Amino acid sequence: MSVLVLLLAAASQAPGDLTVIRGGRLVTLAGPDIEKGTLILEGGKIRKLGGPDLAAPTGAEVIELPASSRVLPGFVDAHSHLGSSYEVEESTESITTEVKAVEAFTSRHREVREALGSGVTTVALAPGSGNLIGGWIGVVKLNGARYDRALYRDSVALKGSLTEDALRRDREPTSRAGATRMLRDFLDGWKRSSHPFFVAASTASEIHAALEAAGEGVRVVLVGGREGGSLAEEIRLRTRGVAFGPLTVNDRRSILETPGRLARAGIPVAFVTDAPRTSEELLRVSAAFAVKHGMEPSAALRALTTVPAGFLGLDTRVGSLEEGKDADVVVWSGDPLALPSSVDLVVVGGRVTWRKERK
Amino acid sequence: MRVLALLCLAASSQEAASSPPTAYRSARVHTVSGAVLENATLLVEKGRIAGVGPDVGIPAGAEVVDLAGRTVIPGLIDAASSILVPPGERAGGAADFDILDALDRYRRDPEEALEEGVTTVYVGPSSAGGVGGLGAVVRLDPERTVLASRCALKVTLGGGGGGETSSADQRYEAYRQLRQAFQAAKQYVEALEKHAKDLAEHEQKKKQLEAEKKPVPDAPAKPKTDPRNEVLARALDPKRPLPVRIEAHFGDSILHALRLAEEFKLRAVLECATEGARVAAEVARAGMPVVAGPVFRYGPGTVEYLEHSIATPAALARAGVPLAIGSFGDERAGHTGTGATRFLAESAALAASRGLTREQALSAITLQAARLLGIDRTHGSIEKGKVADFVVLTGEPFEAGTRVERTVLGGKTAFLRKGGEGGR
Repeated sequence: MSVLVLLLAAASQAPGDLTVIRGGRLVTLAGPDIEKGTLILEGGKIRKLGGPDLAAPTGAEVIELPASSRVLPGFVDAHSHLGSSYEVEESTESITTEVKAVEAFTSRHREVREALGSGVTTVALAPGSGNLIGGWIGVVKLNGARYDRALYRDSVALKGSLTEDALRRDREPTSRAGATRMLRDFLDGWKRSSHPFFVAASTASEIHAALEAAGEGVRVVLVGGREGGSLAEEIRLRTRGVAFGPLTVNDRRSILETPGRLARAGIPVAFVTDAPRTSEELLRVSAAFAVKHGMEPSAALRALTTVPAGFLGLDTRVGSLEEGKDADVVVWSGDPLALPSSVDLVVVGGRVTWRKERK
Repeated sequence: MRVLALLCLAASSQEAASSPPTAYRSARVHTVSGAVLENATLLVEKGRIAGVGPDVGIPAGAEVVDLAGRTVIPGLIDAASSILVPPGERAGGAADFDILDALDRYRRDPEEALEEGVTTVYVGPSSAGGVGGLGAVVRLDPERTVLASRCALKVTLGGGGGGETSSADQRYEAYRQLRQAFQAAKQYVEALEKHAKDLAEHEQKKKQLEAEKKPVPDAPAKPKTDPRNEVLARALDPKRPLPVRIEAHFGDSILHALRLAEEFKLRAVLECATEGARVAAEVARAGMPVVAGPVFRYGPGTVEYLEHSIATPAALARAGVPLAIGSFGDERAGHTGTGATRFLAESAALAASRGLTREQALSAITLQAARLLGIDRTHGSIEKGKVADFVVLTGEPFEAGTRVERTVLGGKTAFLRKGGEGGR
């Protein structure tokens, strides 16, 4: 451990462009784990990875880890309102395609500060679910930088909603039927877009309506999906997957079992925080609760990394440890699905952005 | 406590007096009170733990359960639970409110808690502001045996009561009012003591006057009995004080709690201590134990939970504060319904990610919780002589994928997971 501390100190004092992280288990999410692996980061990217024999280039900062450490890609939260203080809806109209959720984000927000050491490095900021079409989902990196340098993509997917929140007395739509019709009309004109469409739908009837409205030709990601267990076959055939709403201590067992059921049915499942509904710190808790209720641990890890990256169209950049991907790397003290494990070190874009205080 | 122990004895002897001893063998046992035992036999006789260790012999005729590859921990104790009482009926609001009057033994939430290894809970009034009422310790056996009734008085400092807690003035006012309540109770006790003394003097004088054939004045009037002050008086009893559970979230409210406890010599326990990290040294110095939590907060939370952090239990433990962790099920922290108790182990596990050791985390939901509730003579650890309330896990506690395979209450299997091994 003392070696680790010394070298971490060195790394933070002189952040070089070339960093080597080695000694821990690399959980690449793109193939088998590598015991006592070596990860070479250069120019903000993963340059190379391999086993203990992979030599560190000269001049590299070397971070040595105990063998019990696990090195994972930074987690990806595909649906969050982090650092936005609920300012994510323009509710006078029901279709606001011009709104970009990233514009409500402030990196000075307390939630953002707290999220830095959570192991989450990529966060999709979404409009709320109060509008039929809320606007654009954008992406920030939790790199500790100001907003302009944290912003990664300002519009990766459009967000819609068929939940109760989208139905209002003072404007259309006022009913589920009206909302479904309006959404169908909107999507008819939108089908050629190459962007994914995220639609909030949690209850079985909302999910059913979302599938009906989307029809063919729209790349739908369900957001919420909590009662999706009974509609697994339709969801598998007609969506790109489910950005599953956070699991909490309040949830009844059938909900807790749903992510596992969906994943076993072959549906890509990602966990989301819907922050501040839960916090980025609790993103992995949803995965841990799901594992406890029958989800495969490997599927649960993908649901924190590769699957959400794919939903956002960022799977060539983030979500796994592979050559050429962004150097967003998190060192865990142990298995992140075991709740006592903690984050030791966070690297975003090749820079150490957070490390555990020694007490 | 004596009453309590007797109750437990009665309950457990009824349960398993006639059944043969059971030997759970080849298990890894977290005794919590001592070392982790490998390849140990846990012998249960008449509802009690008759022995535990690698060298414990298996008596002839004993039922044998093989637990190779399994881990045994004590039954989990939730030192602040919301189950067993319908939501909305915990409000209390007076010292003589007794949570047992709101207890619904037929609710189903205890079954799910049992399946997650929780065997005993403390249930008490919620934070209505000021004096809340009396809590109880209930075991989750089919009878919902009450292990301790009217065993702690709940009070709240700067929390609850319409959210009027956002300013230091309001919190000071809450402290002042509570202090007044205890002062009034002190005067009540003094008046009763004075009356007893006056009465004794009167009796003596009466004899003398009667002997002298003189007229006897009226006996001194007894002060009116007040059920609320009777309860507060128990908290002030120097010999066997009723524990007072003081809910406090803010740093200044926690300091108020310490002052209150010192002034009235209360046997106090802090609940929540949301900002406890800021005043951990002071709490430790006062030796006041804490039921920390809830560890899980959802949504922005109310003002009490603005500074909520999963690191708080660790900060308290580091400072040397005796620590239990409760699930709470507090709606102000985004909890709805009574599901939180099922995730007691996860609460402790997540707290362990911030510096609580795994041993401290396990103790905070077993032995430390039992000590805090005053049931540690019979519960909270795997020790010879204690009640056989324990849990068989498929692996090490807090690890990913570890599940409860079996929950045993008083030597009887109260829950066995479908497909669970450990056969006969």
